[in-house]
Amino acid sequence: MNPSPAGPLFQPPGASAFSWLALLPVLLAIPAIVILGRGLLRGRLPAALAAAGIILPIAAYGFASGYVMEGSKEVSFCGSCHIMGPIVDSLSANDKMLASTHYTRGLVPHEHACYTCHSGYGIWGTMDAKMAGLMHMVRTITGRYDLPLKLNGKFDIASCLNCHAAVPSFRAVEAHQNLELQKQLVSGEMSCTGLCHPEAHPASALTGQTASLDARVAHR
Amino acid sequence: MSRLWVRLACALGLLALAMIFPLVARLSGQTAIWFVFIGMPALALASLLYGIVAWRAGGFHLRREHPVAPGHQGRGR
Repeated sequence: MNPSPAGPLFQPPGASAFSWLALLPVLLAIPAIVILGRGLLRGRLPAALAAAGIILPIAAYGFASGYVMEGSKEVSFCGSCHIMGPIVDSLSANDKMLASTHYTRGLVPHEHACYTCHSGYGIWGTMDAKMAGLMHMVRTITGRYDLPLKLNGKFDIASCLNCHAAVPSFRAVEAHQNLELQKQLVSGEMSCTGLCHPEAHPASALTGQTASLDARVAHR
Repeated sequence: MSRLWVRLACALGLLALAMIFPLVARLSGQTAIWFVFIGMPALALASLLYGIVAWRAGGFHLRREHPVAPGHQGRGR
């Protein structure tokens, strides 16, 4: 059996669509480079060119920031830092862990699997995720992280409930109907994983062991 | 002297713009780090530097007409 069959049926809708958000920063950057290059050579710029030389790069950065914000939701982006590689690889392993179960069964969007569970719910969840991503960058640059990796703070159960809360099979579980248990879960005193459900990621993936590159390339 | 500062501001602006191309070509943690931690500070510094040079050269000063003294009709009237 072909392990990675090709064809349009295996492409999510819009996967091959052209990204205007990627082109716009380049379209703005090119004239800005010409203007700033002239300024670099001559040491002065006429007022109109100077204004364009300031506005165009800022606009290019605005669009590029939007591109980063959107692109950083993708699994391939998360897995591009070496420390996250093993975790991304483990998603495809179908090892009965919570994340791989969701991923391999298509219970979360394949391209945005990490973001779906780790961003929390609503606009503040998105804001928190972006801030956390920025701190991940800082920690990657400075090497200020400890292995094995641990979740920073408590997992936001709203990410789970966003999908599960209204599902009849979830509601039908006797343990889920226990009001005391519900309060503990919602307050964060108790976690879904551990006692009742398997951990999200295998312990081996959290140790930063070298990942197989093939699995990460498959996500791109 | 101000030409040197303009050149420096332009060089920093070009450095910032250079960070966009690898980012668009291949969005990854590495290119995003370059964009955020090299490109953005370089762009901010370039804008600040050019703003200071333009301000010192009088670029942001409002040009006021000299007030005409009372009773003075002005030249050629």
